[in-house]
Amino acid sequence: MTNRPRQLPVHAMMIVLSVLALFPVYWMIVTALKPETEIFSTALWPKAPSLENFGYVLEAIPMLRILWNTALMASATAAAQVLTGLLAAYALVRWPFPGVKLAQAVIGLSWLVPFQVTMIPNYVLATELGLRDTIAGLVIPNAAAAFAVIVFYNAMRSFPKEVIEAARMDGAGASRILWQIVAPNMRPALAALTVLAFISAWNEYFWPLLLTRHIENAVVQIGLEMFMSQEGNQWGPMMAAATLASLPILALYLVLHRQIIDSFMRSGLK
Amino acid sequence: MAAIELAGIEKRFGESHAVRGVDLAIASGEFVVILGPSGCGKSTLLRMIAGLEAVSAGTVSLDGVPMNGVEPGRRGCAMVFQNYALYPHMTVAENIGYGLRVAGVPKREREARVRSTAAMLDIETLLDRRPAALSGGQRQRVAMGRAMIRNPRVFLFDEPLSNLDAILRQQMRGEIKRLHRELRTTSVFVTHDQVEAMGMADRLVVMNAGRVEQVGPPADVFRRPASRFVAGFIGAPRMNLIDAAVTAEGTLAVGGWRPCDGLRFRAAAGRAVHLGVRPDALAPMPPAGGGPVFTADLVEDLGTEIHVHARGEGIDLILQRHADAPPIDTSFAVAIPPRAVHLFDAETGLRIEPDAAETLRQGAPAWDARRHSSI
Repeated sequence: MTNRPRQLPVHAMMIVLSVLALFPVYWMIVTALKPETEIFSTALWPKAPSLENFGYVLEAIPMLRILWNTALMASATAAAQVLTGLLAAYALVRWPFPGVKLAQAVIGLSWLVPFQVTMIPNYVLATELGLRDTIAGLVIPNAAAAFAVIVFYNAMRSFPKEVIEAARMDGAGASRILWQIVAPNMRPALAALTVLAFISAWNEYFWPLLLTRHIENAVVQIGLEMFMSQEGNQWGPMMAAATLASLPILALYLVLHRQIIDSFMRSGLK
Repeated sequence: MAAIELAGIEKRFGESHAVRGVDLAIASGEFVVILGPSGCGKSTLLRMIAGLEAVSAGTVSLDGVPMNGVEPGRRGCAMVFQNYALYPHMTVAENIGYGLRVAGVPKREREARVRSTAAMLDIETLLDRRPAALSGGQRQRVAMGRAMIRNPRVFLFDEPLSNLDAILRQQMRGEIKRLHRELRTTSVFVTHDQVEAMGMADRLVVMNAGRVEQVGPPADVFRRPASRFVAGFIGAPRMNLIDAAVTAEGTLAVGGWRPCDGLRFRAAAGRAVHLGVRPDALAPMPPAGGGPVFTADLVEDLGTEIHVHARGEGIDLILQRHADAPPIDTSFAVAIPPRAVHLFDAETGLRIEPDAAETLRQGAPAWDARRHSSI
């Protein structure tokens, strides 16, 4: 609050950047409200805004079912990544073995393996396991993430060793220490990772495209694709569907944004 | 309460050899302090008793039962850590009661025991707070409570007072001793602070470089240090150690100076030794009679006592004098009372006792304190 004049340019810059970030979202909503006749107009607000695109979306595809599928898939993926990340990081921190650095490096490098490399073997495997066209098929290949392991590894390494030793003296075993002592102190990392994993699973497109056969088993990104056709894109309904698809993410962010920002601030300050 | 027995304990961390063959028996109900400089292996030894560190060789037994390989939580030991190691996400009550929760003690009983433990430590009003909202001294008490509530057979303290300020440290020292008097639980207390060690120990264990140098009641360790290391480590200001040699007659020679001529030592002629004298036993006297002349170089007045740092003929000495003793001359010689002499072999560092019979026959003059202290 002090030194107002000097903060002015900073604020001006932040306002410009915020507008740049928010404009596409605004344009998506505005386009969703435009009737077909106005779809290519560059006016900032439609002359005759209507909800007809939303109605069309709900009729054309089982949108609610698809949203439910996506929420299920994204929650399961996020939960699985948090769980596997916590377990792997805990093992690496508590029982370091000769070559632990190498193991870490290998885990880190797996992050760099592009999806295109694993997509065909994963597809073959998923088909053989009968997971094609299922939610489980979408979740399992993404159940462990190098990023999660690295985030938790770093968070746990800075967790005081004596506290774990105190718990051992109190008679707690390895898993009790993880769930009752270590994990409750990883709240910021847990929140940030859950959100990031959830969002990235929500935005998953290519893998669901490969695996899904029927629209009622599809996720939302596949649903959006329904409005793109060789005869031209249906921009209005597509933006309406996109708006519907981003609402849950927005809700999640509103609930957890304090923890997320906290976590990013902390990792930045270290 | 349990007796602790350590037999041939070794600990290696890769190349480094932290503990080298420690044998130690601690009686049930005893308060033993392990004292040593940092890196001497004292904390490692404590952690091996706790089970937090595996022994490389040897046996840790409690009441005669070998404990090697037994999980820390099943040994019946409780530990207080240097930085308290409280669970940050739990309240004080949850911190104290966690061991009972793990043990499956029903909630109601747990709460009652937490309250009575908190009452003993005077922290009942803090039970709902989290560790972050406590002062250092309060955290210390919570850590003590967490250790006490399980009625352990052994208390292990790993430098628990070193993060507290001087006043609080003194207060906690008294409280730990008081609790020990009430509970009579076998306690092992690790510290590098000799005041803490001297004041608290029933028995003192002095460690250096992974080995036990001396074990005994604090007063004995102070009065008859078994090695040059112990002599230099215990006592503040530290003992003066002067390079000397044993003459053919068994007396001591510091160059041409023959301090305490009446003492005889049974050691080979020409043997290099260290002559140790506590600063408070050194008496200044007018320069005369061939001894080195010292010059006061720095005088520290600590209020209750005065430390005089002096130099002469390549020898550095510290003299400790009463605050109300007359001021010291800038140049003086020193008299070393025979009874205040500690002698250590320069090679092995071990104590050499004077030859009592020989000394008596030579008619060593009895040391007259009045004669020396009135200069």
